[in-house]
Amino acid sequence: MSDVYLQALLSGLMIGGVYALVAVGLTLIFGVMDIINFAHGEFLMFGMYAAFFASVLFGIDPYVTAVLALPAFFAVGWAIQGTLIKPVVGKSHAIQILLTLGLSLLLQALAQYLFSADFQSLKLDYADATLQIAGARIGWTRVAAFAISMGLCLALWLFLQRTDTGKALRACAEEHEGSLAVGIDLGRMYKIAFGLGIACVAIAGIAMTPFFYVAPVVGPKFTLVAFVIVVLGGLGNIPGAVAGALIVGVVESVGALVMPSPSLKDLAVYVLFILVLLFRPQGLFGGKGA
Amino acid sequence: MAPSPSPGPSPAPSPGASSGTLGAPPRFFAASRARIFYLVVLALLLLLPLVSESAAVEAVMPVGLTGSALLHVFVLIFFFAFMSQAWNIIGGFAGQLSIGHAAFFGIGAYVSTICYVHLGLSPWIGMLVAAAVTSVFGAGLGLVSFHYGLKGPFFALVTVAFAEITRLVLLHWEFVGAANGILLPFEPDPTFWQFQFKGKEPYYYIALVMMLCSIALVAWIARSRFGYYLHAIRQDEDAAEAVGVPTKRCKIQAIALSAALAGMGGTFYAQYTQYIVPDDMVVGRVSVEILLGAVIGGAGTVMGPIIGAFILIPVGEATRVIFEGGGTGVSLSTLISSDLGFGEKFVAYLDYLASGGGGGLAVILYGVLLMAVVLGMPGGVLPWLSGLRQRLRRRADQAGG
Repeated sequence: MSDVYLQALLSGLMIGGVYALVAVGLTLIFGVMDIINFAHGEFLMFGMYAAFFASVLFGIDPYVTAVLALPAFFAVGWAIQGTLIKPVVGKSHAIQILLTLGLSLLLQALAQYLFSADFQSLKLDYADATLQIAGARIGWTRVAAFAISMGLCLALWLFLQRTDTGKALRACAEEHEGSLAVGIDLGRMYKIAFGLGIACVAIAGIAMTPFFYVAPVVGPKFTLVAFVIVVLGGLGNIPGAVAGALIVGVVESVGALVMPSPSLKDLAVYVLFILVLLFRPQGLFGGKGA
Repeated sequence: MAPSPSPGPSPAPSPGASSGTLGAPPRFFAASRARIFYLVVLALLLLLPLVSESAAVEAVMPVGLTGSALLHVFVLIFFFAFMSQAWNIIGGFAGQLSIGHAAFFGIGAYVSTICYVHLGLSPWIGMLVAAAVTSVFGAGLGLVSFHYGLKGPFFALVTVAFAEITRLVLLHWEFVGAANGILLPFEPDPTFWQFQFKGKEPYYYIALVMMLCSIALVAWIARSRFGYYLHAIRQDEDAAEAVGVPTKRCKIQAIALSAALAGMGGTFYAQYTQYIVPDDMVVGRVSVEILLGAVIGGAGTVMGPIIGAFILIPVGEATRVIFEGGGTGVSLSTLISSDLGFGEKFVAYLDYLASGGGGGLAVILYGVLLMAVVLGMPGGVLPWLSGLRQRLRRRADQAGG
């Protein structure tokens, strides 16, 4: 019996690592700009398609695509912030939500138009290699996705702690007027934050492509899970988001064992979400608060 | 654009709407002009089924868009106007953004259908049962959310989670057909009581009446104390609370009423399509489509959702017909795995896109419209139009004086 649970725990941690990268992107955008990005999951979906088509059309390995995609998606995020999101920064939450909902609707339908609604998946020759830990087996591609995500989260955290730009970003998250007063270019910070957030979520998508299907509809589930994590970890709190993500990953995979049907695993996550929102809106580890 | 304090332009041509006190003559004329316009449209809509196959309609409408195809488009318009109006009560008037109304819609459809299939209860009664059940769900969701002070984006997220939970439960509940949904029993010789009809005309009039009733209800709310309370909550909830508005109770009443209407819409949908399935009904796309009409037309106004539906559905249907007609018949997966060279593949792919790609063009347009309205006319089309009229009049006054 313990083997089954060990297996669930490990695979939960692995997927939780990927969730962490998704959620860190969301929490960074929220922290700096106070905007909730409902189109977040759609960028994950486009990351997955990038990896899928690079592989089937040009034979580029997804892990190579991940490296190439980092600057590309950063630029996409930068451009979207500069054009679409910029006018609604500081407006009411309803306006912001509706705008990003519109973006999400547009991107999903665009993916359907461009790539069709079919579910696609990559077939890589190394996809079946597994790692044996005690009685559990974990696919190497999942371990790689975990490692990439955790590495990027750490890199982002170091960037925010150590570099001048990172410190300026944190200053924006703390206090908008104060940052302006000390000469921080808020517009540029917003573009960097959105660019980084989008790059994070796209890389998370690419890292999942070796073991996860691609379809225009994959986004919303990840958006919602990322919200769950961000609320759990405390809004704008990056280490909190990573911890929240690992918890959600484990709840989900253990939920799949406990629930009557494995596909009900998400139910556990949503129930956890509502409970946290109601009883601990500041998150488990503190943050801006709901 | 300054937030207009009026609860919307002239009320619907509903039986209960009185002219009220409108003050200065220019406003009175403007309001009565709008009322005449709405009455004329209503008269045309009432007559449409009688002439839908006539030569005159055939001459005006594009090929194929006559008779039952034309009526179908109008049923969709009325239905979406009704659903959007339902959303408008909580999302527009009370200003609490719900992105989970597909849940109430789905629950309503399932409740009346189960009553019909298992208990033999007429869907007309089932519709009332559906409204009762969904209003309980709505009130429960409101009670929990508003008791704990969830606002803005957090309320929105709870509604999304609620819809997802509803979908998952329906998807795994064998009694309600799980992922297969429920196919309503076909009646070869349906009676009125069975809420099934051979032609489109009865559905057309039922949807029209439902839309008119929703307008009348919302027009009444807009003029009632309850409506002013909701308006105050939307403007500034803390200030409303401070002057003694029972904010929590009002919000719960608003979401219960909104959910009840959405549930009745679910019953209509079930009877019209004769087939209900969770993955078509209780999904985020439907929740967004429900709020789209109200947001585009003007959330928190009486006629906004109706105008929104009259803009959206024809635009969407036209896009579908024009751009998604043929298709090359080649699936993208076959194209990718074919032996063509890269250049040939690319040309074949362009062909694929030109013939409608994988579909979804109408929804692309919906997304663009939503963003354009949010960025360009944040109150919606209707408030933007009345603002435009005021600006023009002011300019005329300045030029004259």
